[in-house]
Amino acid sequence: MSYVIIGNGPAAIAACEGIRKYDKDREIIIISKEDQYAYGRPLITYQIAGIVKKEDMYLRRPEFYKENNIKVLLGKEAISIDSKSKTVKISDGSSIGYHKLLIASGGTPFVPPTYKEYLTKENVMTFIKWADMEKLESIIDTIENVLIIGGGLIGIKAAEALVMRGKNVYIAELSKRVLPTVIDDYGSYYFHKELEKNNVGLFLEDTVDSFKIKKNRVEKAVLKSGNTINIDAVIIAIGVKPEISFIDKEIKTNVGIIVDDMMKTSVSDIYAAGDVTECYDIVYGSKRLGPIWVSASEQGRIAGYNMAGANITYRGRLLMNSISFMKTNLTSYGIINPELEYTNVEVFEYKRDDLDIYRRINVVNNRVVGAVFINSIYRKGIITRFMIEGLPFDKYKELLLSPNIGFINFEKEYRVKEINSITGYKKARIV
Amino acid sequence: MKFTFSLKPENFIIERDDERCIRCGACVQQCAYNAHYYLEEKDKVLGINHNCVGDGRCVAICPTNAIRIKQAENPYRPNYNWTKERMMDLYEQAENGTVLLVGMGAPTPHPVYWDKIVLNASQVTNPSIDPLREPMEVKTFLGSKPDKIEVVFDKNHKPEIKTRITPQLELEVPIMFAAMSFGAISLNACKSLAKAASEMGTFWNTGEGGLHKDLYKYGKNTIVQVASGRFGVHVDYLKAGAAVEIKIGQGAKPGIGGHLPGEKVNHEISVTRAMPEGSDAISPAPHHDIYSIEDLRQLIYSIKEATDYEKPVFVKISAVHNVAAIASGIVRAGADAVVIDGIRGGTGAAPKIIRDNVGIPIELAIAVVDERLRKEGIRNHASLIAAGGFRNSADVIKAIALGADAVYIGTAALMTLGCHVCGMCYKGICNWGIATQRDDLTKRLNPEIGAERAKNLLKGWKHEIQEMLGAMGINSIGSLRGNRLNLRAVDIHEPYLSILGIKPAGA
Amino acid sequence: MKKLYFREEWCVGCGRCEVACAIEHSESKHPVISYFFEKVRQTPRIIVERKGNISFANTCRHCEEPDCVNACISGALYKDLSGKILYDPAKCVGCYSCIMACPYGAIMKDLNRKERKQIVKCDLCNKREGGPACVEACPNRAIVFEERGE
Repeated sequence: MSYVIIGNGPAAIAACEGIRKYDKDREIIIISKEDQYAYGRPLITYQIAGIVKKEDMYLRRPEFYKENNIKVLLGKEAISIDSKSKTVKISDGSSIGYHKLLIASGGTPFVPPTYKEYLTKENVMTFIKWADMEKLESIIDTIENVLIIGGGLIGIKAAEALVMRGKNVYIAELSKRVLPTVIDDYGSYYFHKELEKNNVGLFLEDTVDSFKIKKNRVEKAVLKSGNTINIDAVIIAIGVKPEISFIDKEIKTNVGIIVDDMMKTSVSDIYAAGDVTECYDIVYGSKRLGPIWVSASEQGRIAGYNMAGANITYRGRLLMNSISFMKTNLTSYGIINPELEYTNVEVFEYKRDDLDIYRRINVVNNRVVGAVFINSIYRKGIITRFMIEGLPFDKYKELLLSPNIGFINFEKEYRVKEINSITGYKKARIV
Repeated sequence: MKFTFSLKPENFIIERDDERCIRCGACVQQCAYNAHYYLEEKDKVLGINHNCVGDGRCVAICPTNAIRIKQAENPYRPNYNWTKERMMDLYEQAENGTVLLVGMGAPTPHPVYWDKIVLNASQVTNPSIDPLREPMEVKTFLGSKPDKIEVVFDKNHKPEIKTRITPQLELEVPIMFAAMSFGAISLNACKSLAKAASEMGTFWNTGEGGLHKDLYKYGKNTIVQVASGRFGVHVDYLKAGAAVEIKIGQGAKPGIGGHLPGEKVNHEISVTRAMPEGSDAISPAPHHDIYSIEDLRQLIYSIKEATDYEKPVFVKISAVHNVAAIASGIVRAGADAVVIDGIRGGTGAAPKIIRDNVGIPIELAIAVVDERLRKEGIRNHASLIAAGGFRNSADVIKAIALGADAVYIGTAALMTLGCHVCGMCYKGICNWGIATQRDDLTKRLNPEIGAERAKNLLKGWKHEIQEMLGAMGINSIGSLRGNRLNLRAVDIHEPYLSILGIKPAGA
Repeated sequence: MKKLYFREEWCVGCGRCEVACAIEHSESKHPVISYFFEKVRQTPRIIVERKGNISFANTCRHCEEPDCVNACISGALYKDLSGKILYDPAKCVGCYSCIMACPYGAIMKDLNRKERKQIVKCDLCNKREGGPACVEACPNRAIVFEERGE
């Protein structure tokens, strides 16, 4: 009986490494829907833009799987899980027994029913999977004008790739600003500015009403606002949702799978990790969705440890995103718009519009709950300590808003201990 | 940079090779005299020559060796009598009307007799000795030696020394670190020397600054000083050391007391010296309880009494005209060792006029004191320790051949810690972290490194002394002491030949 | 595993470690050539922080549970068998996720690489004889490279 992992993304890879830390022998089987070894999905942008080669997109060297006794079933889909017989039924009809099962199936692109039919057209695609990349690549030299539906993380990265390839890009975004989930109102201004500078047509509070089709290709989009644009390709980048279509009702789910701090689901021997889960969030203090790469890896690793018999709990997820569009770079942490969650929010800002620098710290009860940094990434990871450890904000206000965040403002005992840490920063607690 | 009018021209010129300067800013950051400046708009590092004291910190720290410090030439009409330095001093005094202060030993061209004395070596008629193959003793005992030794045999015919031997210091190498107070130098400098001394089996000296609590652990290798200010002197202090030294005078400033300005008296120093923080530490010129040899005897015996006759007591004087007679008096007063500090001895701060003009060279002082004590038959009553500008192991061995038992090194020891003899010790800003109490500067001297380097110097000198002894065919330093036949003078004439008691080369 | 440790009581703040780091990671390994004449001027992987009398260097802790490796979207950052956290510049796309995640602020943008966004981080002078260059460059032994614990 093997360790079985459904999914083939960062959580799956981290889980393999996690398992192998404590169990060097037992076989691991990965069930991968896509027919590719684990690769970095965000790299699709960079591949299209010509920055990274296809063969450099894989997360691990090909030998990794052999060295670690991992069998990868490519192009196979999990159909259902039987927790009584401890088996997973897969798309080729066979069943695989598991010793411990990890569901790391990630997210699946959310495509509204009205657009679904268009995905079959040769110039309409999502921007998430390897196949999307190949589809876009096959037509890239023939297209000029591209409409991206959705101005979130994926939409912006798709736009960047296309701008770098010299395409004429339009973005239609339902909310009044781009990147609504990871940036605040003021911060989005810098992105609007950068998009404009790169001649990206931005349609805010707008979306597609209908498409005009010609010869199996979309050639015109009519927007709700009434604008009509001629387009050669459409990318649907509205978002992702947890891929839980195959899971058993026994496993407790909300939108995603509910997991405890050891990444266990409600069913024994079944673990879940990554974008598919709802796990504990440090800043919110509750379980919720949080599809970010860092947390997927962390959860995968913790799940791996525990599947292999260790007793290690996850400190919880801290939401963070780093995204850039051309020359504008955003780093954001925790709760971006806390006024939706709390009443006693204090916001501290530093703005330099002339230099395109913006820093914003959200504070609740003297605790940092979120932060936004634009073009000011230097050493900003240090701020995660504030959210994880709950360091008092007032004491370090200057530090957090300064460009040169460092350890020198911390108290001597703390900084000496931290910069000389033997083990490095701890993300897990051993029980 | 202040733009003021001054008649004093710059002393140094900072030359920067712009093709090598990588704008790392290390020189700017390291120069506490602010002699380097980074002009951000032009991305240039500039030198401010006027501020440069020539201590070589920037030269050492620059990662690309882009900096050269050159001495500024005399901009005025050359004049043998009115040299640039004399003119600068005049201008300085014309501006301030003060006593000119200086640090380190006198740079004046008084003759250095060491350079005119050469050593002997064995050829044919007696064999030289290879110290790497054969035993070579450089161990030295400091303290009063009895006139004769009475040995008795017990029932089993085992010999036993009946004579009471007074306390002795045992030196693995006849070189000690001279008195430099915590105050004049930093605690890290003291720690470096103390650690090196204890690891090498020799001694360091507290100077008149008391013994900091961190240094008590080196007590076995510490000579504690009692000077006219009596700073930090208490019974635990006296008992902590291996020997006690009464300081009457110092080679750099005979007849002058010490003065540690209040701004240097920080918390640690005030606790160590038992005096209020921020107040000037002034050592009177004389000990006000010592106006005669008899008074000195009282202090010597008070200290012996206080330390249960367990510690040798030294008396340190500067080498002055009457040094032989004074030394004789000191020995008769009961001192276990006489320390003589010559005119080239260093200081943390002294009036320039005193340093450069008062006292006599140490070579002559050793010779006359040794001679006088021998003549009076009391040479064995006390050891003779010489100090004042010893630069290498040859100086040391020549001093021993002239009659010294051991030497103190001060300036040379500081050089192992990074001192570049810029002479700015009195300013309290030392870029090397030695003669300063500023936290940002003292941390530049890591005693771990300092101790290693000071120790290495002693190791090197010890080995060289062994080589020179071997060449002379002598296998023990004791056999060289006062053995002036192993010295010859080159270009020294009467009456100095007879004062030194050595023959001219060729004779 | 041997790691770098920083002793702020002995750091003089001169920044020679930063210079040594940049030189070591240059092509020529020559202080002047690497600064003036190479295509890419290296960004130091070590940072000296200074404020008043306090100064100290700090860099990557080579964490047991590295946040940066978890954050890396391209597999460029990895932990090698000895425990060092290294990165493969060919795979790095410059997304800066690692900078975002590192609680030590130890990963830097490669400031001078114009053609492509990249990061730089301490590799403990991976293949250098005699250990990390910063240790040797320090005038006051404020950086030590040693085994502690484990």
